Amino acid sequence: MGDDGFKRTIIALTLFVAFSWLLISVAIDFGAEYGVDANEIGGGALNLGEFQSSAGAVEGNASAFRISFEDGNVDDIDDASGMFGTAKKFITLITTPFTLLGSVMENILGVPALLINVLLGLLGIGLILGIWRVLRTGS
Amino acid sequence: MAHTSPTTINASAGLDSFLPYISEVTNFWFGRMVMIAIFVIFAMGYLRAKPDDYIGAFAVASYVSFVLGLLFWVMGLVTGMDFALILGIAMISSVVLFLQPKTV
Repeated sequence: MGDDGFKRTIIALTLFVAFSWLLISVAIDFGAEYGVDANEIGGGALNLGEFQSSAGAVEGNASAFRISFEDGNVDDIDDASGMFGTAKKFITLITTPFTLLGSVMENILGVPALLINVLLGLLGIGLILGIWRVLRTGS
Repeated sequence: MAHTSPTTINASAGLDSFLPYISEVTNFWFGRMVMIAIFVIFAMGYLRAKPDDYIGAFAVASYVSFVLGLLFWVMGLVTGMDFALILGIAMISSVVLFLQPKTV
């Protein structure tokens, strides 16, 4: 979880939201055109609204992250919105799409909730350690 | 459960009449097995061309299954939940593909 691992993770999860939204909207539009009931596709975990709100949350967190950089407080530990605030935004940025991914895995693919929780837990620990390394060494 | 007799099918409508009948008498398992076969064929074909690239094989096979599954869904060969499963596999394989480090 070092080097460009963070960048790859953020981009991959954000692209997952956009690409999944594309696949679902194609399926729903195509189904509607041929008179098939698309409620099974567009409902529940594959609701387009959830993907849209997830993308909106990622955009909001990215904007907050950018503002932190513009204010120059990314490494000011005396400031309450400094290092830990930045780390929090970083973690939220990555975990928002992953929560949606977990929902798809659980509700559509039938992956047990326990396994999703373990994966999310490992991701959280990995992110904390990885972000600490990034902030400490700048790598 | 009594199924419709095949002699009652209006063959002049072509596949539009045969395919729903096949789905009905097999409880959608015909379409499901064809989808599984398509997935396996494309995954194995990709692996034959690029050995050890399991993520790529999974992704390519899931995208092909998505396109053909979309057609099967509107044709009535697979149910909406079956297609949602294919959609879920395509999404998961996308994120795994995006997370894969560049090897070139």
